[in-house]
Amino acid sequence: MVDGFALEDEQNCSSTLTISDDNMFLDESGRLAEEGILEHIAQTAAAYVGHLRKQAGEEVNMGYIGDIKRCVVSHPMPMAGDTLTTRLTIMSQVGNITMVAAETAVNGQTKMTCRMKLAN
Amino acid sequence: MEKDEMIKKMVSILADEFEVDAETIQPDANIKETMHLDSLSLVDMVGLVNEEFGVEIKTPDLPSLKTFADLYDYVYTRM
Amino acid sequence: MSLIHLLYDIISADQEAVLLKMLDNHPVYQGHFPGNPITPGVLSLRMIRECVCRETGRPLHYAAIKNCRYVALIRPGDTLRLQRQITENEGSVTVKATLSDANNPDDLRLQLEAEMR
Repeated sequence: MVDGFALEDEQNCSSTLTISDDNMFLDESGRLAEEGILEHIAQTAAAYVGHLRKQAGEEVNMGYIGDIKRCVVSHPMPMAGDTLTTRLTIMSQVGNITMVAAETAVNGQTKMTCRMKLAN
Repeated sequence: MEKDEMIKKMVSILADEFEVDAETIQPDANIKETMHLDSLSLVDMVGLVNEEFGVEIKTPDLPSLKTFADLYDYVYTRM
Repeated sequence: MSLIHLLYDIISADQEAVLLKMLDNHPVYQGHFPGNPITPGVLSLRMIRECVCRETGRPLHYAAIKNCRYVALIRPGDTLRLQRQITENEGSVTVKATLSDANNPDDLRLQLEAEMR
């Protein structure tokens, strides 16, 4: 659930996702469920960490969410056709666990902010 | 920032984040045991120190940071 | 996108706990991961939300997640015990929940503190 991915530097990256009609997180109301944004953030983080590991010549493993904290959701959620833009900053990294701060917006309006740890 | 001031700030931030009594954060106390840290919360501590003091604790340095005094020295010399 | 009968079934529910059977019907397992099915973390969050909606009779959404900790992996075939503390406030609902192995309460899988609206 990531269409576009742009590396800014060692600490920051951004990604986009245009919500397709058949996205599995779309609700009966036609809106993306909040878990869908979390999945988009998790996949962005996994892509980013995977990229950095590859650059460092390390093995790229499957990524799992370790925890989610300080997550604030601003409803209403976006709909099919809308584009999510996520900015992600690496806050800390210890061994195989990376903590990121993420902010996802649609049309310049913040829909979610959170901290997430990814183990891989 | 003076070292005393840094220590005061550190104790207050850590006690708050890891929900422990600030009194238990003594210089010679063990960091992991005092704050019940596991592999995930250790990353929180590293992130917090980076955010609040602008000091990045490197993974290879972590094993040498056993007590709070070790942490204070590490952070103070790199601020 | 209700996940019941696809990702999980409810075996029983009482005041103390909800017993859940994790199914392997969901198409997500084809990719997550081939030959090594693991329940995606966000779907566990969704499953808990659905259980809270069912119990309160309200169409709730996460407004804030204070802490969601994935302690151990969840896989299809697992039987889980959902223990939850649901506090209905004015407008919002505070949820504290844990998922653990139904046969071994010490085998904790997930811990959640969240607010729903």
